[in-house]
Amino acid sequence: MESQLENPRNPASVRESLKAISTDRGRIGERITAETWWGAPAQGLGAALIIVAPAAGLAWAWLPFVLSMGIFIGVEVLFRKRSGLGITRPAGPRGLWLLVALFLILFFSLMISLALALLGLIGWIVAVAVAAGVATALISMDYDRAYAAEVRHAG
Amino acid sequence: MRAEPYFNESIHAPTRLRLCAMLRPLAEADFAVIAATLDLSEANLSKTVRNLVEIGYLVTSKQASPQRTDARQTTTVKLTAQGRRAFDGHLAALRSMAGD
Repeated sequence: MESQLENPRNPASVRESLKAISTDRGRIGERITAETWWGAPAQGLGAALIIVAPAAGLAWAWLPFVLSMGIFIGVEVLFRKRSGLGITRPAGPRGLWLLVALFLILFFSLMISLALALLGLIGWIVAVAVAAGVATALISMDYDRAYAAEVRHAG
Repeated sequence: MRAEPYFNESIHAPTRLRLCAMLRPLAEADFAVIAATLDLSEANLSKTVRNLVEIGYLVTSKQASPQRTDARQTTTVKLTAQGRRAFDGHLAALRSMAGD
């Protein structure tokens, strides 16, 4: 006789299937957060370089900017190779909001940095860049944790 | 937008369902990583991937990999738009049946 669990439409069998999906998705999350220890500080450094670029003056501002792009692209390529996973979008609303927050922090930090450069306050630009870099690293770590939590229930 | 619940027999088999569920939130994943994550043999996963490719739910691509010491290539697997729709509908049906 066919058991209840062998019937694919049985609620208990369906719950088992959903549990298996959640467990597998949890492993994806673990794989991603395992890469945070190097990815987040590297992205923080990349962000700090963009913000500090105006302090280098018109002639040399391209250098930290290019270095920063190199770091961001390098992180992306290395993450793809090490994790074996291609991720292009957040898994849920928390991840999306963290990305929006990160964009706003970087945008306003760059605006402040440009204003400080016009006033010749180089030391303050470095301080803003360090703060933006730390914020980026922390948000990046939080984003990976949010992804790990939200991917379990993603569509 | 929420998918219309539709119980899809062609992806409900456990390995097919787990594979689609793993790929759904990702742009793509390496074959070896899928096998390790789902704890499946390469033969079993290979057969499942082939079946889902045949019905148009998955696509695979191969790239040379500097990480490999042999001449074999790395296989990357991803869900097609048709596969995503089928999985979304099936997942909605499962959640509805489970009372979620």
